[in-house]
Amino acid sequence: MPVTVGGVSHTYLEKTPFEARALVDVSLEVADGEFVGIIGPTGSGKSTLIQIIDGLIRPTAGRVVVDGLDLSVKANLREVRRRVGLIFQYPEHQLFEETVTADVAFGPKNLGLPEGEVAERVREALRLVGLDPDRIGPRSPFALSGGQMRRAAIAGVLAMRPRLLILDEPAAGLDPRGREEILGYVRRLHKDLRQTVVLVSHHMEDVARLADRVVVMHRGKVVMDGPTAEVFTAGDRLRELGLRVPAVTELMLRLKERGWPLATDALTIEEAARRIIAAARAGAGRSGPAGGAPDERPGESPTGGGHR
Amino acid sequence: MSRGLTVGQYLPGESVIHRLDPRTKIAIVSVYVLALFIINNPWGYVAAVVFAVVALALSAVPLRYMLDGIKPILVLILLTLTLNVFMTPGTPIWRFGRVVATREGLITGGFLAFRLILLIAVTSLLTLTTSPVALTDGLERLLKPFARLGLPAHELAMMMTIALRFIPTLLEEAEKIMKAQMARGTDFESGNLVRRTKALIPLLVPLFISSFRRADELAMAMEARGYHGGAGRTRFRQLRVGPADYVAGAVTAVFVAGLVYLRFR
Ligand SMILES: Nc1ncnc2c1ncn2[C@@H]1O[C@H](COP(=O)(O)OP(=O)(O)OP(=O)(O)O)[C@@H](O)[C@H]1O
Ligand SMILES: [Mg+2]
Repeated sequence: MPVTVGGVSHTYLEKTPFEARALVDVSLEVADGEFVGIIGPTGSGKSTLIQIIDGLIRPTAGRVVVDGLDLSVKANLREVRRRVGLIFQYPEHQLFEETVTADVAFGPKNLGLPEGEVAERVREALRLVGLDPDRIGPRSPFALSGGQMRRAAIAGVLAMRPRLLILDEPAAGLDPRGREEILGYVRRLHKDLRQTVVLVSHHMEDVARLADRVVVMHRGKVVMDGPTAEVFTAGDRLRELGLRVPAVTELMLRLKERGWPLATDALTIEEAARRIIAAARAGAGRSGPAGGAPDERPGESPTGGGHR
Repeated sequence: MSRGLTVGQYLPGESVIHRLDPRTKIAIVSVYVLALFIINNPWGYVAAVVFAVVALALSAVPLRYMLDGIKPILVLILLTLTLNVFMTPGTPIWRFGRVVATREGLITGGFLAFRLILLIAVTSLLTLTTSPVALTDGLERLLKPFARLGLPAHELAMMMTIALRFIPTLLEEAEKIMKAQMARGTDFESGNLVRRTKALIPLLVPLFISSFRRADELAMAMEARGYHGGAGRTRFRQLRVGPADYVAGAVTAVFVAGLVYLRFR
């Protein structure tokens, strides 16, 4: 589902001593079926931006069009919220029903769906996040573990079958396994169902692994926007902004610094391993990889195929 | 953060009024509110307005904030005014069937409404210029003499501090949950009363749960840091009465003396 954000600015508590400029002239496009990662230091305006896309905050300036619906038209807001699924930071804080099933059903019911359809969607959503509808469904959401609560809350949004899924730090505060699992569902939704996804995260590795494109925010502005590999290869720039590059990219950047003829745009461990092996093999023909001049014969670089 | 509720919202500043000792401010506001009720002629009101305007000017608080504080009680003021206009016996000025508006009623009602407005204005000036912590600190000190009579002054003040401290947190939390439920399709704004009330359940349940969790955590954190009530507690911030406090006290004394003179001359 396409989203166009054009010249959007937002100031909280405008014209009071508590004024906070959260967004300054932000423009952004999300194409249908794309997976966009948003990164940026704390307070850079990421949460504000995604709430504006869901029509929950009215920006002080600028235009937002979601799926052809202009958000400045009040009558469109409801429809946009039906099509966009927004999962907030710590979504388990929104649980309120007596049973997990009832809570997950809350969203679909608000959509006005018939009961049979609601029940079916609830089961599907619970299964999608790895909760057994028959075992966990009838329990109170407050009797679940933190990780299970998080999953139940996410199921509550997935059950609405949003055409655009926005997640704000969905894995914050989970153990590595819970993190893997939750991001696994998101990845599957994107890969298998071509779900459009916007993921806000402080975890560079996750963004590197999942996103097609990365948007970097800093002090309310979009400062970088491009293909994932391209953005993360700009290590110095990211560090200047107080961010980090994923460990894999860091390794590639350091190897390159030492003279390895490598392309640094590897985002997964497997990719990186392949490139290092290839570089080592190519280098073995000469006097060892470290000895090779970095930019020698770029056309024959073993990693040439990695550029997009 | 939701605005609109000015009472209890502190507006940080460096003005003379901000820097007055909270005890002085509480005492002056109390005296002022009492004094409002001995006024019985227009000159008294002029004096009271001048007092409030000078205080407002010295505090550098934008007038808008004070008016914001009056807004919520506007209905009450109008009701008072209407009741007085129609219920007071006297010279009729307007008649509609059996309903009669009287001149006396208009005068009494008008003065009463004016009194209420001044009362709220000055009270919100107190909360606008005094941080909640300073406010309860001052209150605790003022109530201390009553501790001997069994009044738990410290505990009351601590409860107030905590309550005030958590108002913004609670509002923030409410806003967050509200947005999350709106994202799930709740409509808080339309429908009849029953529908709207029902729409509050998804907001209130999580809000209560998080409040209890917060209270629990706070209690534990306080105990972990050795809190055991007021006995033997020393304070980091000592309240000090300075020259400005004496001046403010003197001005108030003159003001009250003037009102008493106007009333009983
Ligand atoms: N409800 C609010 N009222 C006032 N100011 C706010 C509010 N929400 C956010 N802000 C301010 O707006 C700015 C951007 O906040 P935002 O929450 O969008 O940042 P973020 O990038 O999501 O940060 P984080 O990574 O910490 O979640 C911050 O300076 C913040 O203090
Ligand atoms: Mg955020």
